[in-house]
Amino acid sequence: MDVELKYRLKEIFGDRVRFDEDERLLYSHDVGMLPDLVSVFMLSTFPDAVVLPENNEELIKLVNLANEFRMPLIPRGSASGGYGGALPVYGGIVVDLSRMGKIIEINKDEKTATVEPGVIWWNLEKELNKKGLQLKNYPSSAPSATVAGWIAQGGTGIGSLAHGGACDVVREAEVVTPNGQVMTFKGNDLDLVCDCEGITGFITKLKIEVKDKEEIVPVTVLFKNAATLNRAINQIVREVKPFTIGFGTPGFTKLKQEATGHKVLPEDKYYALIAYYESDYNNSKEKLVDIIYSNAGEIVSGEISKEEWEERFYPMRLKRLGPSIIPSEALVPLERLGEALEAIEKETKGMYIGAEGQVISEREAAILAFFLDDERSFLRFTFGWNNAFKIIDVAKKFGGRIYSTGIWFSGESESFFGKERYEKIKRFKKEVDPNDIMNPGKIFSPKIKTFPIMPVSLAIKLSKPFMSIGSKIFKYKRPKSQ
Amino acid sequence: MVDWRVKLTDEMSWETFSCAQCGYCIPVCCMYDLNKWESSTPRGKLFFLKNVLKNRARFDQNMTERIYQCTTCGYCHEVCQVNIPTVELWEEIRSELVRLELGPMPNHVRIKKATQAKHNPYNEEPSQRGAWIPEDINIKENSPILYFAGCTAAYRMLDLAKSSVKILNAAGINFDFLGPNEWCCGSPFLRTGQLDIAYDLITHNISEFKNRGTETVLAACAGCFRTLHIDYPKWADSLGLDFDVEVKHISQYIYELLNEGRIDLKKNMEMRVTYHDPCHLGRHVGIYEEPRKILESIPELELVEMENIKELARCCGAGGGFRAQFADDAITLAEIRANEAISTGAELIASCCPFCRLNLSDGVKKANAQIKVRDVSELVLQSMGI
Repeated sequence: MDVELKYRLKEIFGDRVRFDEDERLLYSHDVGMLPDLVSVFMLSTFPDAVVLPENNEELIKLVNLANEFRMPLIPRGSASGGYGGALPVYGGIVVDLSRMGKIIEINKDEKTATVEPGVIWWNLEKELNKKGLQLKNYPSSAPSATVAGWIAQGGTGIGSLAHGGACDVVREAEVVTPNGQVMTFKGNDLDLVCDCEGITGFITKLKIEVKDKEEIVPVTVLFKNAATLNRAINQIVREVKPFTIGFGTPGFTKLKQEATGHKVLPEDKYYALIAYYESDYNNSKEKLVDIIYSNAGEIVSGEISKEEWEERFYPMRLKRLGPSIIPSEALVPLERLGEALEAIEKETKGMYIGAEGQVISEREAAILAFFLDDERSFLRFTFGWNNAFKIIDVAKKFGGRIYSTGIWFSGESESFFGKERYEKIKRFKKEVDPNDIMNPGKIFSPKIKTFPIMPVSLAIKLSKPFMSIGSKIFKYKRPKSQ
Repeated sequence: MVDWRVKLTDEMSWETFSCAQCGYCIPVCCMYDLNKWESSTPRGKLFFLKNVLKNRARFDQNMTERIYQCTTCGYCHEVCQVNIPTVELWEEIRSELVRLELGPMPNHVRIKKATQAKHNPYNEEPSQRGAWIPEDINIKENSPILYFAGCTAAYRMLDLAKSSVKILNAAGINFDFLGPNEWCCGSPFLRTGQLDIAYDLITHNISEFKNRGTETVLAACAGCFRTLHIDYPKWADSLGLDFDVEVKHISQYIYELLNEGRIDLKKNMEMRVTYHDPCHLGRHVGIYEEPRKILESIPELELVEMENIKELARCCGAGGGFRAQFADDAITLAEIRANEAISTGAELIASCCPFCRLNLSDGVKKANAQIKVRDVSELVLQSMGI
């Protein structure tokens, strides 16, 4: 890194900038563990520096400096997502926004919370609860995910069935744009901020909608197969829509229970975790029970349901069996959820896989699959990533689509956003960021480092046949668990 | 020549690779309150360690210091997706860093030297170890019950030690005390990776218990209790030593005496009290209820809870060798905990550990607050009217 740039970063941030290799290493990853081959041939995710800004003034100075030195800036929350949104792809400065973590205002009358970007979702929920309010929705990584992180990455989570996705609860967003302006976005203009992975600027303040606090009543139901699970879920969503519905395959239950040593659910059944607001539950109870029984569902005890509800933030417990996992996520039409789950089961027969997910709207469900793997085995782990594509391919067969873009699916951004919104983002990006300093390589596919005219999305596409062959040769075998 | 590579047991290596990198450990880590860098967090340390095990990174003085910037409070384990036994892992890494001559920190070396010479980390005279014993208290040698004061209570928090033995005396319990032959339990050295001296201390104390015919050890300090309760049986097992001793924390024993009617809490103590869970007593061993039930038994005492309690209690900042090396930061953490206590409207913070009491008292001073800090045993004694 340029010595003058280092000096000037020091001037702005003092001891809140680091250039040493150890610290930079720790900002080179997110929740996903990439195979080594990716960093060797495709992308290096190592930053040149890391800074911890505390206010807008520092961010404005930073973007001005980055423009002067043509240095990429990568906004980062808790890096609890796995799509690479918080990873550098052309070096640059990782901007960790965790020090901007104040809850600015909770407005009980307006039912809104105004927060800085680094506020953690579950900490916000606790503060809201003290005032008789609660979040409308939150990511399944709420104990560590930041408010701006989830909204910038986009996606859905717990409560999306009732209240929509991450971006549906945003009323206003204040952003420091790459040309050094402080802009407030509302209404349709939020299209230029939400889901945009920080390519249009640093989110510095968010006003989100919240609601009056109500108790949640969770009900866990077991189904003998994916078809009955599918039928019941679709009927419940149509007739007695709850706050949220989670689900899991027998494989998921088996691996999770093996990992925790805590066996409470049968391991040969699908489960649905259906959660209602208390008042809705009282009104829907009879109909809900009818639907469950008419689909041969079996309601488990209230205690176990509460336990499962508490576990909603812990889908990765099975990782300790791997000791690594390869995750894969896709959206499928809700009416075909059962078929997709069955197809995944068929396609991955003999593998160590657990799949769970959330119903995210009246039309779609998100499936999150975890394959056990072992990153200590270089080739095996590299080819193991072929499985991630497998799930998405299956989902697409049933009319599904990718869950988010990030680095890895940036080639599908246009279809993900729709042409109109994609062009709108592109125009705005060009206008405020002519030097492409804000999180380059996200949404618009980055180029691979060994052949810099080839986009990553194309490299992934071309590598798929080799990955498929490799994955058949280098199969994961479970090491002796400790 | 020193082999610079960190070697972990297969079990701990597996645990390291199993980290889900979800970051749930970050918001709960008290080090993160002091310093928002990823290297201060359990996730950051595990990611670094994983790279060390893959031979892609190497511990230097900076990362070694980060490993010691941890109170080993165990909160990260409570929220871990994959249930990594983080305290055991940090301790194993520290012992490796000592083997590689990168650790421990300078003050840890100092306390080791003091303990080698005088059997306590405070460099106090062994002959004074029992100087706190009130004149009217009789120590009955070779009694099956032995009171283990620990270094902090014996040399720094004398009121706490005095209260404990006065309660035992009033309840008619005969007990033994090792006096100058009570050596440091070894906790500061197990926590900082200095296993050689820990071996000497543990071997000595186990031998004393055996020679005296001790059946039950009552520990006044949560750190000593954790060490005697969890570490001694493991060490005795690996060293082939006989350790057939029941270990209780004094609060557990006081609660038993209370239930048996051998203690009468008669004096009204009209005050609001909040209870701080010592990590070594709570998260490490799972004792949360006895101290609370004792406090609730004191007439007119109102127990009010802080926001973060029991498994999710914030650390006072003293443990794991942290205060020994990073005293200012340790007191800042105590100040944060003291402020949490103050926000309950309590007039007094009760705890069950001399080390927590010492650090919280310093935290209260730093906060310029009036809230008092006392051990549960001191409140019991007061309510007994002694």
